Amino acid sequence: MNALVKVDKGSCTGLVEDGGAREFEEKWFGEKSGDKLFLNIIEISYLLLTGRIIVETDGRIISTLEDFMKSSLECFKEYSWSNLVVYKDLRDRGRKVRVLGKNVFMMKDKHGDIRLVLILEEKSPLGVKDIIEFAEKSMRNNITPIVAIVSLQGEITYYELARIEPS
Amino acid sequence: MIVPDPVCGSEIYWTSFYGSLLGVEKPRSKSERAPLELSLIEALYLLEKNLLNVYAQGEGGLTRLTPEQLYSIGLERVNRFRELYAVYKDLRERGFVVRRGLKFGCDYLVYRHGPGIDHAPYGVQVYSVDESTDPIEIVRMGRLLHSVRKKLIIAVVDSGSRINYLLFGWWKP
Repeated sequence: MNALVKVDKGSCTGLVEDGGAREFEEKWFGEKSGDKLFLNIIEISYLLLTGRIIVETDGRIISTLEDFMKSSLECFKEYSWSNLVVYKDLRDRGRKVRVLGKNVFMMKDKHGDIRLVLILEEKSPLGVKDIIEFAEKSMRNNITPIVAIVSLQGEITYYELARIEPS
Repeated sequence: MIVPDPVCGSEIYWTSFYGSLLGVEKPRSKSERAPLELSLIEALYLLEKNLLNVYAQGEGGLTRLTPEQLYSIGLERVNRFRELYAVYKDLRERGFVVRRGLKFGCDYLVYRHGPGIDHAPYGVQVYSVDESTDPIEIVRMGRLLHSVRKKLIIAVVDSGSRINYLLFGWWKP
């Protein structure tokens, strides 16, 4: 049976009702607040896509991403589709992924190592300085930085970044 | 920039693979003689090293240029000249052979020993720290370089001409 998630449109988060929270938490879904587990919009979208949750919003029960997007448009205003594309790709490969920021994920790779992933989109120019700062920040924390570049067709190319001194 | 004397041109080329010998796509022997074409960047580097004299045609005839004058010409004529020159010079000073990377969609190819001797392991794209880029440009360069077993480095030059090198290695999650 799918877990029930109650979505608050104001915060655009979903509270996992009793029953599913523990399993989700073990798999790096959601953020704990007290004894409650809250999912963010990307996690809700992914779990709806993969048929693992149903959502209650405005007293309605929703079971598809399409219906959820229609009913909660305001939550998708700041939403980058590319984030979901990358999130889904990593989750479908069996990786644990946590949403850290607007376009940054933390993930565990297949060897169990932690990586930071910066999501970039075709036609969305990014300051070169931002890439450098992302890489430096990640490496300062001894975490290997990754960039995931998503084309307009949804194709993802991943690069591992390393700051070097050519020698 | 042209070095018209074929003997001199060939000698400069073989010093450390500077420029291109006119009409010789892949020079194989030091006995090949041809005028040498140098980029402004290569010429400036050699001028700074006192390995070259550079003359410009002016109203009063040929004028010998100082490195500062040639640098100013570069700034006027070549987009991102400051950054491109800073990276070229830095890589040369580190002992690398630096060649144009046009064939592989980037600014430079970097060899440890030189074309025809070893395989260039890196393609380098130069940016100013204030620039923005469409991320798909990185994918284009990265894929092209990866197909010939090279890795992409982006070299980011700040306002003080300090350079950050970032290596992009293709990665599978």
